[in-house]
Amino acid sequence: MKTSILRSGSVVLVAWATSLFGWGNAHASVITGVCPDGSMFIVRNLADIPCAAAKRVAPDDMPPIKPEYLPRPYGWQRFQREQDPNNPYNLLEDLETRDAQRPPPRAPTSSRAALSEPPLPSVSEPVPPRVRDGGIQLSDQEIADLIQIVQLTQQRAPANLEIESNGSPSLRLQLAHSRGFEAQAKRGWASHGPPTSGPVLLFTAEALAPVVFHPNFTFAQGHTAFHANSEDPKQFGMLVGRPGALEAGTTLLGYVVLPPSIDLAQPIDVYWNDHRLAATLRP
Amino acid sequence: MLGFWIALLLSPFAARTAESPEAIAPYAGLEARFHQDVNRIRNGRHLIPLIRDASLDVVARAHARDMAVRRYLSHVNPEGQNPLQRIQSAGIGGFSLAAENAGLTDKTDPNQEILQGWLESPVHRKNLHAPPFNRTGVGIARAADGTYYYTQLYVTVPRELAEALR
Repeated sequence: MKTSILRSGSVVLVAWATSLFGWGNAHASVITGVCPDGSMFIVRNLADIPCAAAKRVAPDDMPPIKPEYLPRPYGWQRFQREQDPNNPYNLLEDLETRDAQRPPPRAPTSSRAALSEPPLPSVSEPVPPRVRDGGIQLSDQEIADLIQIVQLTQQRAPANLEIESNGSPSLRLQLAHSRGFEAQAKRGWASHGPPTSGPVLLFTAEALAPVVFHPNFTFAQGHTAFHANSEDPKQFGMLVGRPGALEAGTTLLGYVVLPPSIDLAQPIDVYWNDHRLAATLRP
Repeated sequence: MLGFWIALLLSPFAARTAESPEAIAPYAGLEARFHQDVNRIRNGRHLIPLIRDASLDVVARAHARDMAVRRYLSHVNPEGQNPLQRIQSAGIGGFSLAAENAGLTDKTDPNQEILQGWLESPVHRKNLHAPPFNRTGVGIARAADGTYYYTQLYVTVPRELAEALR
């Protein structure tokens, strides 16, 4: 019994000692952990840890770890989000800042009215989207957002023309690429026929004075010159307004689907009639 | 056929003397009406008119005459020159886009026949209906057998460039 206790005791001790030795060896030979950017490291020396403020992770915890489960610093995520040119909120941030600078709406002057009429929760009624040219469903709010996206995109990818009549500006044309709108339009078209693969551009035509506007756009890149067929909704469509005689202050919104061979990341010549502008629509 | 060879023989001598307008452009009236018809079609589609350019007329007429004399119908002549090269050889510059339509007919109303044919052909119609073109050259020539050969050149001189050069 004693022997057996001793034996078992020695076994336990040896086992523990072995375990301790093994742990110590593991630390001495392999250091594992995670960097703040989410990457993992396995090094032999502390000096080889590739980042500051690394978090040590036991080797047993390393193999099943997947990078997407690792904690990501909030600052890194925020930086990435703010740098993403395809994040529509980046385009709208300026607008939000501008809105924030406006004076807040006036509070009710009558305290009695304020007491007797508790503020109702501001629930705006959902506006159903309407079917536009090309079968694209967009609400009025979405249309307003698209017009703003076209305007704000000019800061990053300028593509605008100001046409003069009799020495004064009469028409402002702006073009922009929106990945969100392109994806929505293509999803809709794919459900009604063969998919469309070319890039989709948005354009606005703002009448600064009474003017006649027809969407006589031509896009030229290399040896490709493209003029959209205005009768084919998979090439051209109006989302707001109709071409023709416009009164001052009118803004039209439309889209053009370009051939797949046109690369928006490369410079492109855009013509409206014989007016030309050079632009890179997806820099 | 006889007329064809006579024309060839006479042309060097004719070049030495001042050519009459009829010798330079024997189908000037036909060309003018063709130009008007094309602009009428463009106007119906809210497109800007094509302004006739004398230097482009020279290039278009030369190609129409060459096709009529050597009896071929192509944008590339037997020497391998394409329309762009012919335009550039004539010293014409300042344009950013260029195109050419060509055709032949032996019908009695050649303008109508050619225009109808171009409108029914997607490639030719594309040139006729292209919004940015603002200059044109028209050339009509007639072969010995009476066949009409047509060439119309279209170019874009960007408005901003044209205004800057004024």
